[in-house]
Amino acid sequence: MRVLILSLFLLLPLAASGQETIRFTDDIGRTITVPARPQRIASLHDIDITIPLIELGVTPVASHGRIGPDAKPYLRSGSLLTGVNFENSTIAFVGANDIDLEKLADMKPDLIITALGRPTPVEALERIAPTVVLDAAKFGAPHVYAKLAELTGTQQRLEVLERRYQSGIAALKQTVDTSAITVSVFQPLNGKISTYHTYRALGRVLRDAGFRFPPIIDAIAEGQRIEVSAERLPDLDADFIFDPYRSDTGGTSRTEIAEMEKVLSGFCGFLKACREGRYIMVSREEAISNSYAALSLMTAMVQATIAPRPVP
Amino acid sequence: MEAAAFGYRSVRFGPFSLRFHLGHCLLSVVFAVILLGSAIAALAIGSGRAGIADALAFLTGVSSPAHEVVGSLRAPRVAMALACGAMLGLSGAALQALTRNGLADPGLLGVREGASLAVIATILGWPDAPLYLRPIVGMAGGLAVAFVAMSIARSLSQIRFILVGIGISWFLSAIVALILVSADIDNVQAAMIWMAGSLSGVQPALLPLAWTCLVLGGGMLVLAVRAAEANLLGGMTAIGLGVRTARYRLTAIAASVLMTAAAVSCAGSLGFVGLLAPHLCRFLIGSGQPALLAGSAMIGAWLVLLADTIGRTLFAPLQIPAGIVLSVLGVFLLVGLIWQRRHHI
Repeated sequence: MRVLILSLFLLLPLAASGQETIRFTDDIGRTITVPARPQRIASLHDIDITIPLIELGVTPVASHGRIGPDAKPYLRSGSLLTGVNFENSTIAFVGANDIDLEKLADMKPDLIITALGRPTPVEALERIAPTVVLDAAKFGAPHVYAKLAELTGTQQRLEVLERRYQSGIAALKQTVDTSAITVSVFQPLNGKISTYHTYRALGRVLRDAGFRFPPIIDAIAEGQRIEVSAERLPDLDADFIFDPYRSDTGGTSRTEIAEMEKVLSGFCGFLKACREGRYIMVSREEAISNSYAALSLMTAMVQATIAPRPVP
Repeated sequence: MEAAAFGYRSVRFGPFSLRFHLGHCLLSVVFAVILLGSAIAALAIGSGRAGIADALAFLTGVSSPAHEVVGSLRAPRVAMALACGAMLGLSGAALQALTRNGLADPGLLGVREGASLAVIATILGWPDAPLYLRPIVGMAGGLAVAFVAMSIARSLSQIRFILVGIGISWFLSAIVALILVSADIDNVQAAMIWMAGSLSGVQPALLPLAWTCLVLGGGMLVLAVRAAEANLLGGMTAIGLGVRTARYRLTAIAASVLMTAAAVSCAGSLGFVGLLAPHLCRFLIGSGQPALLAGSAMIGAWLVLLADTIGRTLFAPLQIPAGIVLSVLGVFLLVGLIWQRRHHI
């Protein structure tokens, strides 16, 4: 009975606004009634939800963001990948880690989309509007885009983005014999080396193009990452190594090398790719994003990096 | 009413008598009014469009356009801040009286760490678990730690039990740190914010649990108030005055464990309240046990309410967990308190 009454409460605002509704199953298995054509979406994760929404042609009314060194809020990778940020759009900033629920309620969203693992509990968000939970880490970017397109009715736009990306991958495979080349992506993290099964946009491009990975990376479960000590560095060696440096906080390739030196002094000597000049520094902002803009950038970067070099 | 002695008065109702300090009572009433005013102010302040008129309309049951903001978003936070602050203040006062040590606070028994470990394991191991499970799991963790401490200490003798509690709390802190450094960085944020002590995710459904624990724990301490006063004179003197010290210790510890576990489970790790509230009470109201309990509850509630209100409004929409604000406020209040009482310490 309580569930029925609660459901009626949640449905009331939708019914009052006369919106058509659909039933939607989110990534934690909840089936929720949401507007068929949501007009006021609030996103609670900038990289995983806000930027994909913007790419799909939907501007959310409110979004989670970060606080920069100038104390101003920003969408991580927003300006770089979409040209959209808080200061040049109508998107309202509703909090960094924890969300300001009052500000969120003030924006009168008809749908809230959050990511699994966000600190603000779903139960608290549901008091404001129907809330959908997506899990980009577990299911990957294509799944999140498909879900967002289903929620916003933008499947056609998604097809266009996907076609553009697949054309880029085809061009890369035409230029480079990807199956004959091994690649590796890792970064220093707190004195260790962090590596993913698929490092977001960069990893997806490398896998979709058909490059091979060292066994240690292939052994990581899909959607997961591991941290290893410097002793395992030789296991991560490959024909080409990509190291995404932290560009959003002012980091450069030099600071990244300094971090690697802290993990293992003279690390380059332990990696054939590094000794022979195939240790490639990539800006993490583009590499870590899930967006199609980042996928295009990564495809072009990989092609430009590998194509001119002779295969070792 | 009988004549005053050292400011105390007695009132008889048939076979029952009530002894109270008129000055302490008046100060407690003044502080209750301040607390009520602060709670109404907290209901009226926020980034949503709701002000004092909407807060008063909510309290008087009159409908207003901002009823949802005040009723659904602010009121549960205010009610939970009051309950958790009062529980931590009471636990601190009870433990300081029990140990006759002004440095005692709810963290001593390892209950806070036990509850934290259980909740963090739930957040990281089962991120989509229903929110109402957190306090249940946290209270189970806190109570389990208290049980383990009692089993190891084999007695509620103050020093042995508390030393075991300190040891367990360090051990559990190490496990919590190990979990946090080894967990996936993408999943740690929710646990970190919970650990910092945040009331942002308060669920109205949890309020009855928190207030029930407050009433139960507070009631137990009120019943043991005379034994606590006698205990302050020393264990042997208390026995000489007819106090059943073992029963008193069990009551004080059980009440503290219950309230600490409930507060930590509902609002995260809110430090300083249990230590600071009793000291502020002694300074502002008085040091008799009835006044100390009432005052510590009110001051604890006020501290958490103040910290949460500052945290959610000062840099809105940026939200600062109440635990962080409390730590900053607590340091200044503690230093001020020490300076005021520098000739007594």
